[in-house]
Amino acid sequence: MSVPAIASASAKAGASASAQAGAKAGAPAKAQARDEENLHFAQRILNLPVLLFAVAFALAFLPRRMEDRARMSPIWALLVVYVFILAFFQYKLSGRPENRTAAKDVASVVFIFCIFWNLVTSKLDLFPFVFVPAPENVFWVYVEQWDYILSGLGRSMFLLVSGFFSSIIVAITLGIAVGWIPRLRNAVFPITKTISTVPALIYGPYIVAIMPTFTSASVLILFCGVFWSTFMNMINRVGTIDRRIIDTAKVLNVNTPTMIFRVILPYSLPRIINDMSVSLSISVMTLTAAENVGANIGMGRYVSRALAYANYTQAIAGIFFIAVVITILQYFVARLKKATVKWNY
Amino acid sequence: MSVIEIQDLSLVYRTGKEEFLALDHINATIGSGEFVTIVGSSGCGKSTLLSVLDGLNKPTGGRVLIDGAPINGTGPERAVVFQQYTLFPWMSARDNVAFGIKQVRKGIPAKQAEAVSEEYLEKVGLSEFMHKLPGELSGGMQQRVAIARALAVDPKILLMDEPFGAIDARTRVTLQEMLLDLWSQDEEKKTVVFVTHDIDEALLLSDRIFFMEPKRIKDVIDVTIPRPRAKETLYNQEDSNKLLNRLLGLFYQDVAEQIGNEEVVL
Ligand SMILES: Nc1ncnc2c1ncn2[C@@H]1O[C@H](COP(=O)(O)OP(=O)(O)O)[C@@H](O)[C@H]1O
Ligand SMILES: [Mg+2]
Repeated sequence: MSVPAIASASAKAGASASAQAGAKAGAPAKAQARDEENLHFAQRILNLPVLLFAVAFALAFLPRRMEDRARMSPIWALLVVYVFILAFFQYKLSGRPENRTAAKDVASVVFIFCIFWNLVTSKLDLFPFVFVPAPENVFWVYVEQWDYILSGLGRSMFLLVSGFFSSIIVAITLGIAVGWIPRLRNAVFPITKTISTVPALIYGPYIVAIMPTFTSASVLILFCGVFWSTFMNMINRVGTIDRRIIDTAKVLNVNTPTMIFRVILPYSLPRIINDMSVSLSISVMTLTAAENVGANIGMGRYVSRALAYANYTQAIAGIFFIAVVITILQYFVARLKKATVKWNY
Repeated sequence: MSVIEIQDLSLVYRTGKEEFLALDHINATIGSGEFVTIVGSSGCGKSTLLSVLDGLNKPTGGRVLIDGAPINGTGPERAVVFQQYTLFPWMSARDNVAFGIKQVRKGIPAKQAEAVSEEYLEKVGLSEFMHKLPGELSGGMQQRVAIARALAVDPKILLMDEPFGAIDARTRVTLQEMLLDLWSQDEEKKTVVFVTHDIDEALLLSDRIFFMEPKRIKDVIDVTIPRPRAKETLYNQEDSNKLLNRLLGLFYQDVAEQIGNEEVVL
């Protein structure tokens, strides 16, 4: 039974030896391949984040002083979160070698924070438990209320996607049209600049008051929250676009639609997508704040209701949840950029 | 293949309240199939003159006729090559050339445009690189693509504004000879107007040289060197040395005038 194992181990050693010889021959691509191969099991396990993970994991099982005063949730939701963090860290470790140090540092900080949080709340009970809830209680919220949270997420995403994307599309189309006509540009730009300085949140409650339904109101608020800055940036971009690109297109005898959709739009795309990640953050902020005013369900509504009932456990769970959702959305924007933009200025 | 007539052409740039006369009553005729270079010191109006020919600038006085008809803006019978950064950076070499073709031959099937594009990229020696983005090509290769894009629409007139101005000296020679080669291949030669500030380049390429001083054409020089010409044998000819000296004389005189006829030591 052990014979094939040995055979395969020596075959592996042979392979890595030849890979190393190849790397010595000087090809940088091979050197990188060797780097990845060298990430042995031992290197994955013997590092600070994994040690901290073990500590955090073990700590969760120790007796809890907070139990005397508060209702404590089962610890397994917390353990699942730890495992998730560890798995994500291991995934990052398999990525590019130059990012490994950062991955380790980030994972270490996260686990240290978890250990500290667990210690001062659940284990040692140093703070009033109502205001500083224990981590196992916070993460248990997801187990207890997953259906409520998910339907809130669905609602928020629906509003976000319809408001954000309609706004981006309209703003870019109008922005190009206005930016392309000098007289229109000169007239509209200063007005846009003034309006875009006012955050949509300020007139949000007013929009909620005048619109018939909360859905229409929040879509409109989201629309306004992103529209003015995107519109302004687009006008500006078209006005300052590299003359040589425009001249080239003109001498190629393009018609106006081609100029707009096949030249100006693709030329501006890298910056449009860059701006999109900022606009997306603004949108989420605007949405969660708008939900405070009029929604009965949604991510932001979840947090504000929890806060209103002084249920800080739920509030913190909701805030974590929003942070994760935003991060995932930003990740999609980054992916979109990678997929569509293969060149740079 | 077209005759260009420049009649009494003037151009004034307006920036706010300021006016600047860049071209002052220029007259010239460029024959069908002729290769003309425009030479002159920097800022004398070469690019401005070319921009009127390609249709990007409208004359403020006089007019330009092509085969007897006044020009109005850009047109498919003219193709232009600028100095640098004139390819669309988000399109591959092949797509850049095909894009040009599609603008002129409306409704041409994409496949066909790509085939023509590949044919012209082969002519400029870039078949292997047709799927590369401009950012992945050297400056010389980018200019080859730009030339392929200009030629692929089979224009009657080719307008070039210092197309090799930013290219290193050795690559430039290759590109000059490639251009001459492609130009002389045609049964009916294209009319070429080529701006440069490189005298060697002008002598190598052109039938006639328009020597510009600020705002006007100062002198027209017939380049009598027989074709085919090659860079390394260009100055074996007695003619070429005479022409070179004459051009250098014009250049120095021009510089001297610009700094007020003081004694110039160069
Ligand atoms: N868009 C413009 N507005 C105002 N002045 C210009 C403009 N373009 C060029 N000029 C001026 O016109 C003159 C001729 O410029 P140009 O034709 O580019 O010269 P060249 O190509 O021979 O170097 C220069 O003095 C330049 O400053
Ligand atoms: Mg110039």
